[in-house]
Amino acid sequence: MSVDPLTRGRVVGDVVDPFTKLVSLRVFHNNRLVVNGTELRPSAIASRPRVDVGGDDFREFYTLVMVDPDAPTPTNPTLREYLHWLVTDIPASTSANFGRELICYENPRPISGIHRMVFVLFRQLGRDTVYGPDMRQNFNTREFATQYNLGYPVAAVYFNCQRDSGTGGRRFRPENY
Amino acid sequence: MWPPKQHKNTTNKVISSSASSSSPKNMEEVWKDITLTNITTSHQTPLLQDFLSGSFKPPPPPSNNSGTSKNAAIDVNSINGNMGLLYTVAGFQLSFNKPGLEMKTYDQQQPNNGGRADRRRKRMIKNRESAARSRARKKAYTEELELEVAELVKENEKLRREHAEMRLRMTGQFPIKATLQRCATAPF
Repeated sequence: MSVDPLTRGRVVGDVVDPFTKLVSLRVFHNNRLVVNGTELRPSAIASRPRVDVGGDDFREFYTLVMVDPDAPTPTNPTLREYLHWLVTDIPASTSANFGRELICYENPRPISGIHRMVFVLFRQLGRDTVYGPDMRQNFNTREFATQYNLGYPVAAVYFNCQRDSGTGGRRFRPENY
Repeated sequence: MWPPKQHKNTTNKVISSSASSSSPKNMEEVWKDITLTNITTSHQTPLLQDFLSGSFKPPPPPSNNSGTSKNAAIDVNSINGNMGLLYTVAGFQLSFNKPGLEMKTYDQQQPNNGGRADRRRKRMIKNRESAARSRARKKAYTEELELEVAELVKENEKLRREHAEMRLRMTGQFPIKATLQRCATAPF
C-alpha cells in the first residue's frame, strides 16, 4: 500500500487521479501551515487561508480549487463535490490573493460526519483560460480539469473538518499539551 | 490471495463498474464486479440486498421473503468473518464509483420482518464504511507526520553539517583583535 497520505485518505481516488507533485502548495490558516490529515473546525477556517504557490516563472498561472467531497455527509455524499473556493490566474511564486477569485470562499460548515476539505492546484495553459461553474454543488474536479485543459494536478493538500460541537475523530488534541 | 469460494456463483450477474485507478487483485475484481453503479435505472439489475439475501434472480417474488432473510444474516456474517479486511477495500471501491450508494427501500416487497433485517444490514454496512474511513483517516495522518519527521531530520542534518563547515572556514578569517593597552609613557 502506498504511504502517500493523499492516497491513504482517498483524496487520490475520490477527487483526483494519481499525480506527481510539481509545485509547492502551502496553505496557512491563522498562520499555521495545514498538514495533510490535520483537523480544523469551522470556527478556525472562517476566513480565507493564505495560499502560497511555488514555481518561478511569473508567466505561468495556476488555478486553485477547494472542494468538499463528503458533502453533505460522508456516508451519503450526494453533493460531492461541494465547491468552496475557486481562484484562477494565480501567478507562479505568488499567493492566491494575486489571483482572480471566481467562486468566493465559503466557510465550510459540515453538519454531520467528518469531511475532507481538499485543495487542488492546477497549472493553466494560459491566462484567462479558466471559468467557473454555475453551482457549487456536484462539482467534479476531474471534469473541470478536462474542460479547461488543466491536465493533472500539480499539488494537493487536504484536512479534516467537522462541526464545532462534533466529538468524532481523535480523542486528544496535540495543542492541549 | 483468498480463494473466493462463496462468490463464484455471482459472476453471472456482473455489473460493469466504472474504471478503477490501479490493477486490482483477484478478490477486489470480484468485489468490484458486484458493486452497484446502475442502480437508479432498471429494477432488473440485482440490488445489494438481493445479493446479500442470497437470491440472484431479478426482483424476488414476495413469497420468498422470510426464508431468504435468514440466509442473508448468515451470508453477511460469513462475509464479515474472514473478509472483513477485504470489505474495507471494497467499501472504498463502492464509494469510488457513484456518490452515495442508493439502496432502494424494499418495503413494498418485504413485509415487516424482512424490513428490520434490511435496516440492520444497511446500518452494519454503513458502520463498516464509517469505521474504514476512520482507520484511513488515522493512518493518513500518522503517515503524513512520519514523512514530515523524516524530512525534518534530513534537513536538520544538512543544516548542522553546513553550520559545522562554516565554522571551520571562519576560524581562519578573523584575526584576534588587537586591544589597546596602557604603557608607562601614557599621558594620563
